[in-house]
Amino acid sequence: MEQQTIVNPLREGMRLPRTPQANILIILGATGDLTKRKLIPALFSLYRQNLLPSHFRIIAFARRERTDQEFRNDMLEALHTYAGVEDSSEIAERFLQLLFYHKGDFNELEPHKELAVKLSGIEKENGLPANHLFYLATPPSTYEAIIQHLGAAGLSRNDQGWTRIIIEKPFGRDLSSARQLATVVSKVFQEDQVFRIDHYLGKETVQNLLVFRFANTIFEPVWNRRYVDHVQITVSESIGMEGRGKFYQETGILRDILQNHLLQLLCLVAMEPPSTIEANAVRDEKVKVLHAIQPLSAEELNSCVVRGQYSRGSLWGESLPGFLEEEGIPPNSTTETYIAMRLYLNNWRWAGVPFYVRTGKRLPKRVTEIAIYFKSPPLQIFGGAQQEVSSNMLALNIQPDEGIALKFDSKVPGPSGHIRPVTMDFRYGTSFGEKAPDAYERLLLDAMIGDSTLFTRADETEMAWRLVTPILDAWQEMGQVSLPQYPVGTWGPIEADHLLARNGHIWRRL
Amino acid sequence: MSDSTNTFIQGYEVALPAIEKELVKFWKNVAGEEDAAVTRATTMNFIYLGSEESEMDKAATMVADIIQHHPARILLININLTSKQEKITAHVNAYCQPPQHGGKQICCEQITLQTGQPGIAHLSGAILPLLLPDLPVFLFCPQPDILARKEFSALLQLVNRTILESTPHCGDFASAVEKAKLLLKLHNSARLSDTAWGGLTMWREALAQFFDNLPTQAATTLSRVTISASGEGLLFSSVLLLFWLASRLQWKFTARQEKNQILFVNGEGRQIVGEFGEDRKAEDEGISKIVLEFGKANEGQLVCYREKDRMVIQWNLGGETAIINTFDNIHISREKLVCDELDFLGEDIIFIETLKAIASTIQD
Repeated sequence: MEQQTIVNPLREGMRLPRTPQANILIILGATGDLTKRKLIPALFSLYRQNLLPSHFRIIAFARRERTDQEFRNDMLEALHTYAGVEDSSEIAERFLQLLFYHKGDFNELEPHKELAVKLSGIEKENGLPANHLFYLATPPSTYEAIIQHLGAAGLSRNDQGWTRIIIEKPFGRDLSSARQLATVVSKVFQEDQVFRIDHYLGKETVQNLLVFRFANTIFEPVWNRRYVDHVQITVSESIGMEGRGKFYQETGILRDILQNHLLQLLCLVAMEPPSTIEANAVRDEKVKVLHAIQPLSAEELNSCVVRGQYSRGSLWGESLPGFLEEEGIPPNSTTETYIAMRLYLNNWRWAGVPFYVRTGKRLPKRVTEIAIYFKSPPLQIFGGAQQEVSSNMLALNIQPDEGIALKFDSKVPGPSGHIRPVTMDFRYGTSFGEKAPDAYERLLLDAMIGDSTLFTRADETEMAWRLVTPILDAWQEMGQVSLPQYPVGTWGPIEADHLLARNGHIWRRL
Repeated sequence: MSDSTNTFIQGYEVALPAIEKELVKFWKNVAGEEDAAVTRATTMNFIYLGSEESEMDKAATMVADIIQHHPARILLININLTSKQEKITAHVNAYCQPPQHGGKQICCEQITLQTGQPGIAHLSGAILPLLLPDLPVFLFCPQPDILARKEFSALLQLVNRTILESTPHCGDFASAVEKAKLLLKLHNSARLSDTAWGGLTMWREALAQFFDNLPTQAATTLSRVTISASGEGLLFSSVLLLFWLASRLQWKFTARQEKNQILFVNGEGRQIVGEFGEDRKAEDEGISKIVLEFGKANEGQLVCYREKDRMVIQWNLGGETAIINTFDNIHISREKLVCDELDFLGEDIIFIETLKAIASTIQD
């Protein structure tokens, strides 16, 4: 696997995070939303922390007509808006000098050849190794053309350094298209050059999940079917289409969130301990989880999967339109904005334990959380009819307030003998006084270093599509149906509550 | 380091044995009449051991900054070496930081112990019961000489990490060697770090980045290292930096020469001259420039220099100069240096090896 190893003796014992080798980052589709909202602010943050390597450059490759300075001005605006940078920030000005613009059409080979010449020129001028990191921040429909052109222009590998490519999700629309994309990629790049980004994996709490599970001994003995009653994984968004209705109509939340983020979280919760923290060891265990997920039969597709659409409602005092009223959404759309599923894993650790996953738009708040509910004690010796003893629950909050909470019952001080649940909280922000870094900071740095632990492997992606594609196919067969509705600002359609009620469970109030 | 936005809650004097009980009452008072819950957080025990009056004001600033990042039980120990007071007096108070990032308000307790010269013998016995169990213990001492006293050996056994603040200037090279030996002696009792070492991080990073891209063969042509610093007398940090480079690149010390020159030999038998220079133009204290010369005739030069709050790394070759990288915000406050040390519980092996390399240059 391609990874930077310590050969520089001066690096030993350095407490700063690993610094990548000198490299050039080429962002394809750099005039899009992702670059200004996420990538440039993350890179700027890394720059401020002195984590970018010497001779670092960013080449913005896009179709629009822009000079270097015009693009820098655009990105300065982005830093004002998305990174809180003040006007006349000297550091921002210096950072922006790292940015250069390369105009070109992704569908044509010539701009890629010109890019190769440009990169070679920069490297020769500065005596640098030819380390290139390509970031595909373009619509997925352009991936195949770009990858082929990178190969044809000689940019996919070289003897003078390393070449890596970061691909944003979605990796395909279904199993067939994902396989096709994988084939195209593998003809041009080797797997260890490919970094499929799922930005959830860059979040501190997601990383801490591995530490929490595998650096402590006390939780592992109860992390199984003997003690766990069920698991709930929620990715909830309060926003609606935000002007992306047309994109969403073609995608839906199953493809947008469940196929990647949700299943990744499920893997991290359910996986076996890896033998090392090395990337492939971790990813091997995640793939085993995906293999273990019981495929849904045709009957189960109806009973174990709930989809819905948000309807007009009110959130934070504001009246908001329903999905079918949004711009770019046809009135007879069957695209889902909510999905909930019950899954089972066929392995010794989890057999019989339901995993409930849900995600939706225009829910009451933005929350991503994993809640592990433990079984009740075999004998309730406290209380009686008046006493409600709740089960223990461990909540891993991924966002917005990253942290871990353990809920257990405690006696209320006094002679009454009442019991009530209390939580023991660990919050990143208050315990370490630091706002967690943006996920993209960590992921960009890891890609430059060559550490793929937090990126998705080809087989993970394929397995995830194998699970969800039958659902997509079944929906397509069903054709035009009216989806269950839920008003804006509520927690989803009532059918999702029924999904859990059948097992005597209820959704956690978030 | 951010400005402190904490609220300091004035405390009161308490009897030593009653401290824990009084703290319980104290928190109830802080919570107020309505029994509102106060969230206390503690991730460690932090001991600040000072012996000068002026230290206590600085201690307050440091503590206020530290608890924003590391909620702790703070023990401020003030020893007045000129006083004959044997009794140890104690005060309890607290810092509360406003809610941050959507979280809750967090409060940390502080216990201040004061005594005179005769009271030193009783200090360990007073401190040990106040340490919260299970949590790591960090000790910061701006005057390392105090810690060498035998009265503190029991305490040092319990400390997970001792952070010292060596005086910047050490006069001459022989004094720097003596200092290194003292630190190594203290290291026998506790894991050690020093803010002089922590302050070198960005210089080390600058050199490490350059060597990341340097072909191995080129590295062996390094012939001279010049470290310039402001102020009169030799800077301990300069010595640490040179010997860090020497120990990492496996140079062997051969001789000490006049005019602050140290001679080494590398693995290929090539001589390397290490030199300490004085930079009279530097505005701020500390190291201002490092120059690495490569080749017999100084064919190439790596220059790292400080320009206000920025470090510039440039490469000069054949008369041409290119800026390789710049680091911003390189000035690290005293508080931040200490705070950064609190992230680590392990042994800083590289620091210890550097001290050993310095100490071995002059045999006892």
